[in-house]
Amino acid sequence: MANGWPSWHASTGVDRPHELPDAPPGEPATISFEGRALSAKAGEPLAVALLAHGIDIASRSVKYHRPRGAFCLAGTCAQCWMRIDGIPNRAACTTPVTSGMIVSRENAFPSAELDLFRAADLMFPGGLDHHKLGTTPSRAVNMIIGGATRQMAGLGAIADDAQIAPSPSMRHLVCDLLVIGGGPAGLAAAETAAKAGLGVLLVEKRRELGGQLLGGLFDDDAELSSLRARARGVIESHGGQVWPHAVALGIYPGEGREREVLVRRYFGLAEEHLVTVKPDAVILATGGYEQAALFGDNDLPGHYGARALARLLVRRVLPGNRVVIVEGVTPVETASRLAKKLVSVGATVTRVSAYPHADPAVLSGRVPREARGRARVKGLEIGSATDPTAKAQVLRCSLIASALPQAPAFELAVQAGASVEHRPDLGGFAVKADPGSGRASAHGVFAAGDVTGATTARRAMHDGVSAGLSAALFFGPDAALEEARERAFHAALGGPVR
Amino acid sequence: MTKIIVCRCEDVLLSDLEDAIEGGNQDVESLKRYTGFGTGVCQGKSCVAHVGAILAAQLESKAVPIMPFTPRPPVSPIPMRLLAAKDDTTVVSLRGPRGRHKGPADGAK
Repeated sequence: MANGWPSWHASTGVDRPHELPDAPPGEPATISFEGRALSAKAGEPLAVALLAHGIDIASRSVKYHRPRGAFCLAGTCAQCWMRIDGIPNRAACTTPVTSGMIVSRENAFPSAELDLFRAADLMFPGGLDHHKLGTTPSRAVNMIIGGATRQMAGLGAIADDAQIAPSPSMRHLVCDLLVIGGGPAGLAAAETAAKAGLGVLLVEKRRELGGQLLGGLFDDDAELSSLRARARGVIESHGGQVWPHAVALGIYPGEGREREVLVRRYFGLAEEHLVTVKPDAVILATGGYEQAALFGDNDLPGHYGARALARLLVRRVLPGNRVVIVEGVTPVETASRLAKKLVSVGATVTRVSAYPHADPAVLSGRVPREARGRARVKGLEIGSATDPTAKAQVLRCSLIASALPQAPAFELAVQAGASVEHRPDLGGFAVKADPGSGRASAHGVFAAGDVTGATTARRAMHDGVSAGLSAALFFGPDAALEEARERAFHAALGGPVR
Repeated sequence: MTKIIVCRCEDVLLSDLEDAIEGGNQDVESLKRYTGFGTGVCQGKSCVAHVGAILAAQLESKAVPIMPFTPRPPVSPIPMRLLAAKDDTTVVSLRGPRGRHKGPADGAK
């Protein structure tokens, strides 16, 4: 590849150079990327197709025009927004490939590969203070600066008119319980509550259920795998509904204690529409957002979230074969599991942790200082976590994976009236939930999993069971359900199970 | 010289935030208004947790609880055309035997 990446395959002429040899063929589809025909697989996320071809610059940043690429591959970090089929600002990581799809990058001149506007980055190495920009004593100069700034900034060009289809009508639904999020916590909660006799609706923003289990890092865990495989069937067999591809957009207070949740169903598909859901109780299992470690040039393409990289591996795409996994002060179970997966496909892995790690192979007590490379990651300089004067070391690599605790997705909880607390050790602002019951601080609201700062996938599942039982008990007392919740609480703590 | 980017959507640097805190913006909301962090496309999903930690580290002993800014709906961007849609007044009911409005789940689509 001309882009200077270490290609995965030693041989040249491979159609998708960053795809592992054992990748399934899929249904072939051809996309047009800035005038170039690229081979893709129908239904795979567009960002994955581009990465398989070594196209890692998805956009340019809004102010300094720095090269940016996919980081979270989960539709949240907003770094892979592209113009797709005439519509601007669509996340490439959540847009499935269709044959004949026309894709281009935005906001760069003359192209995203070589963007002359990056001069803004190079001219202001210490940053550009927008409070002082264009505030010279000369009005004429200020107007010129203002005009130029407006030219350089922005988010894409407006959509082609013909592309905007009328939207299907808004629908309405009432239910006993709405579970938001289909990861281990949400699946366990919805399954438990449905079995206990509630009319349950589960919404999950992704096309597939599983949340963090989609990264394939817990396939060796029989309990988690079984939950993922069976939950939908159990919920539906008890009269509940499961909506993948459905995003909860907001929670609005209604009359009295009522609340309404606005859901975007069939997200990104032709039949997408809004639904208002009026539940008596809500379980928030919204998970968290992957966070990028803070170091110099931490925004370079080639720096991914650990879970994002795991999901890429599931799709058998790996855009580089030397990986540095960075952990902060809190150990994250994803880190060791990802390292094992990467090694099993032949990648070279170095682990760095700020905390003292028992494994001597992990470079512990070390923190990342700055990434090397101009347009993509070429290395990572690390230093001592405690002594800033200690000698730095440069690790050569093509990928960096940040394995920090997920930042809890607390937005809907706050909208529902629940409290959050600042817990840097749990990744950010965690929703406060009673550990035995999952009860949050608002009437009829429960929370489980990463959104509360759960430490492991198993913990998320057990908390989900507790929250599901608590939601059932919210509708009236029941000795058997109480007892089951007690058992779930002990299971969550890894303690005695009666 | 490298840049430590905290908010990718709006290109807000760690140094911008540290300067703003020193300048008296000592809560998350004020920092957002001054630096523009969290006002971009992701609405803080990639940065507000970092900003909380940066604030805590810089303020050290001043033990005011750190709270996030108000997260308003929609929590992820949507096309305006969806909001402009007509209203279908049919209400689907999903009730279980244990629910407050007892009755079998009709499971209607």
